[in-house]
Amino acid sequence: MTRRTRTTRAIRTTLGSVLDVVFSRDHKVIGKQFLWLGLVFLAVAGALAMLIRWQLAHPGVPVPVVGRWLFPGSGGVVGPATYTVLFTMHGTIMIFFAITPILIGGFGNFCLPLMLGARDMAFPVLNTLSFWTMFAATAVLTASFFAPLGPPAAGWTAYPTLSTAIGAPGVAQTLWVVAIYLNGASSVMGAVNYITTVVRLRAPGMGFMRMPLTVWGFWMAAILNALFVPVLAAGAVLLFFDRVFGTRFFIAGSTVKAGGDPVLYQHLFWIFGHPEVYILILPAWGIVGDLLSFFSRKPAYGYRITVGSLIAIEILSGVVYGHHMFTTGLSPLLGQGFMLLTMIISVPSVLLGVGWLGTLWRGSIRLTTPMLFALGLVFVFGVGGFTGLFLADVLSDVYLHDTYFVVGHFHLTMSAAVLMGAFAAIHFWFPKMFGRMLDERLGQVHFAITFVTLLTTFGLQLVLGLGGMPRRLVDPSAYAFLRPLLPLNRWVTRSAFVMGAGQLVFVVNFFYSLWRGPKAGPNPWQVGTLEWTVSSPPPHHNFDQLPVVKSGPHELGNPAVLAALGRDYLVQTEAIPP
Amino acid sequence: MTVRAQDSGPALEARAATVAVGLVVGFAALVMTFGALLLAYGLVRVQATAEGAAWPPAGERRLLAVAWPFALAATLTAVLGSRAAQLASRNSRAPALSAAALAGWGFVAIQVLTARHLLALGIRPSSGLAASVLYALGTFHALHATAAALVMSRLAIRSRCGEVVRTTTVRAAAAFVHLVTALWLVIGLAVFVW
Amino acid sequence: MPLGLPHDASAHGHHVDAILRYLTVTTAVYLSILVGILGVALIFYRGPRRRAVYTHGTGRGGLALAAVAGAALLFGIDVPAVVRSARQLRAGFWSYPDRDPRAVRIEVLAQQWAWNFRYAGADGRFGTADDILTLNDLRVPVDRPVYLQLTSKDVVHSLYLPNFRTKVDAIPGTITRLWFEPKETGLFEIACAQHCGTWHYRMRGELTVLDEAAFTTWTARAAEDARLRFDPTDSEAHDGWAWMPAP
Repeated sequence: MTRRTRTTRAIRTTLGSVLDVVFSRDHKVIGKQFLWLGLVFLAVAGALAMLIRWQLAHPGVPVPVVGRWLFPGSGGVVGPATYTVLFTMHGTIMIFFAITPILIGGFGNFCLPLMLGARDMAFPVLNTLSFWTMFAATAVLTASFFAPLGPPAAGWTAYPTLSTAIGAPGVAQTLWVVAIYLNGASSVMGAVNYITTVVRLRAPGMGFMRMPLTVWGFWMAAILNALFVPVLAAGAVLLFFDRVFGTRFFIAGSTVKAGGDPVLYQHLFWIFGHPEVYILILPAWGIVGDLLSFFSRKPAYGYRITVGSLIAIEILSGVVYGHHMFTTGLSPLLGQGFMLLTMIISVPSVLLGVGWLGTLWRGSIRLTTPMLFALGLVFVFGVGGFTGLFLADVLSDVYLHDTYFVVGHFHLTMSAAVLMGAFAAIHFWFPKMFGRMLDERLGQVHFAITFVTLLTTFGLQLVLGLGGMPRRLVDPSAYAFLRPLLPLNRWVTRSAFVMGAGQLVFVVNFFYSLWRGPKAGPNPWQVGTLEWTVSSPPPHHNFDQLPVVKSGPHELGNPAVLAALGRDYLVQTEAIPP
Repeated sequence: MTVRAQDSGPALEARAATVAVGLVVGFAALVMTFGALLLAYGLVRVQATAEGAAWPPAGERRLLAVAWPFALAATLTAVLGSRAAQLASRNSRAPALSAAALAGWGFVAIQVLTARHLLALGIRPSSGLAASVLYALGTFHALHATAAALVMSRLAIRSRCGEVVRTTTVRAAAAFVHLVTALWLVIGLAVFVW
Repeated sequence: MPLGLPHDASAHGHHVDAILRYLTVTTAVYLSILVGILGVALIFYRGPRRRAVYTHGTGRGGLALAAVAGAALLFGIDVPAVVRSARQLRAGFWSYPDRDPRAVRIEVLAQQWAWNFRYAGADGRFGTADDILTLNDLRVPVDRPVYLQLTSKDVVHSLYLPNFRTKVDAIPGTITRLWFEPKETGLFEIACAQHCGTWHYRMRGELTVLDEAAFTTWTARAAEDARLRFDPTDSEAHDGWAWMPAP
């Protein structure tokens, strides 16, 4: 063999290996790819939030340090047009490009096959395609930042006619629509995989009632993804056609004779949009159910009631969407109907809380970092969930709609609770993913800062909303009745800045532990679900021999187990001793 | 190397069942997309005809009259394509696969011709609500028909080149073709008959 | 109980304040119970010293607990709130003064980024030469229902009257409606509550509530101005519509 042939072969092999990793079909690798993508965009969207908060606390004052570089045209000040871009991209990125990839793409992918006792997802190639479609979506969204007429600025909800050629000329909004469509396609591909994997690839002996609650959370989220993201896709298709081909679906107005209906978009958007918020929180709910059991060293309280509640919420989530449209002139019949159904969905939500508290009660609570974040979610979701009742009631919603009360509500439930869940998941599965432990003390510090500042930042926004402050205002002092609220806005900003700074503790912990964290054994948390029966990280094929499941996921604190095996937990592949 | 999840027992049957579940979920998602589009069309139409106004709206009367022969031809082609796909799923042989692929491309070609004919007559997507509906639904569906034609073509070529094409794969592709045909029938009925 | 709400100048807004107070108190109570249980558990059930009790919560105890918690929420908060609010809405917000001769009817045309108000004038018909047109300036009499019909020229806006606890969207291609009854004179602000573009934050209007005499004086003077300024060739000014009858 000549040296040239050897070199060519070496290059080909290396290239092949690189491509194999980049386009890996291993769910564990794909899960990490989603996690990295999501964390990067979480940071980006978080930075956008800091810019928003700066402007609201100090209207018209140039942003320190980075202002002149980011906004040269206005001397570093966040101007009105820029502000509309900031809140649009903050919302869009957080929902579609941060939370979705981190929780659903990241942990869903990594955990499901391992927890179910499978070697990989049902359709590994589809899984790869799902990640790269998401990546393409991020590329398109990034491109929209550089559009000649400015980035997308119609809000993450993109209501027409503001999002049509009437309100948003230029290519950015069209690119936004394409990015959302691609993101949706990625989610649906993932949903096909997750649902099929749960239905078909459970290890022998793993009935549905022996699945960890984490799996239930991801499975329910996947079903909602499969059914309702397509409705968003339909809305996106029609908006795309309106913008690019001049169709008339959403075009109306006294200056344009078109006969379309902007509210049609709102129906399509919220038929997706409401299930979407459940899609975002269901995985976190599932994870918390498991973690509370693991770190109370006793079974999850009322497993079946919890599962029943998840299913009830699943079904109800499709019929409550009208509460986003109470001020559009819905008929009283529809208004009352949606009010009643939305109120009812609070009942299964509270039953989840009962399960969580019942798990803690008479437990042997260990305040590890994952447990702290799980407890944090319980509290934060309690507060945020109850504020939803204020918005479910039409009478109070007419006043509170489009105010900061809504912003506080959805940040407490969607952002705070979900973030708590994401950090819990990261701390819990970091050893399994990367073979090392995260630092406990740094984790506790990070938790304390994050927990307190999430509550103060978004709790105070509830107060701002009661005071009548509308959303999406670059400078509230334009209104006399809002000027007294400026001090409150300053406190929200201070709180948000502390929260932002506090995340650096997590970043340091994450990267330091990646290189220098203590090595993790196969089961550092001493629990019984299947992913902890293999090494940390697992081998490529997950299990040397496919497991046979003989018990539930929360067999902790059983006296018979303690007597027979000398430990307080049973692995799912072990039968309960008589 | 793809690590298959199943590695024991009657693996092929199990795999077929898994693929079937995946197809059901994927098809459900597609049906929801088209369902939402049809819902949008329904709402548009109900609102436009609210005070007894006719459909298509004034100024768009000739749209359906001009388009329906093409729609009929497209329907026939789609049904033929489904027939061929059904045959192929039974014997996995090249002629049936090729016929299905050809019918698929024929369908797409008819849709393109429809658009060109309408445009030549000055009926554009921006011409009105009925035109909006026809162009949007028609184009979106045609993209999926293109996907079906591509899938069938690839299977036909592989079969002609002597490769063994697995029955599961052909059945899955045939199911997709049937879905695309069924969706077209629903769209056709909704737009031309209702 | 102070909730930091802006001053309420409306006859019916106190119902909104009442439901806000009701929900605040009831959810605070419920939440306190949950947090209390959480706190007790965190204090008294700490391992590893304390051993866990092996319960599943699947027996009758668990079901009873779920039933009690669910019922407490459903019948303690949800149902009373829904019943009260529905009744209030039907009697109030949704009870438009279509047949009330005292109601002042005004058409609102929202645009990027201003509010156009149109009064019918002496002939009582909209879209005629004697219509009074104002920009960002809504004047109404006290103690009489004010009945608004709204639409938009371009994008979706939302007329928000914080001191009257109400808002409604102004949607292009549709006519929405809103009514309220001021109970005191004064100057109040109108805000836009739906993101409508770059200058959304400055889409501010002024709502002046006048006593009956002042309102009559203003209307007469404004009508005279309108007659003088009427220009049949100004297409921008002819945006009124025939008042939509009750559905």
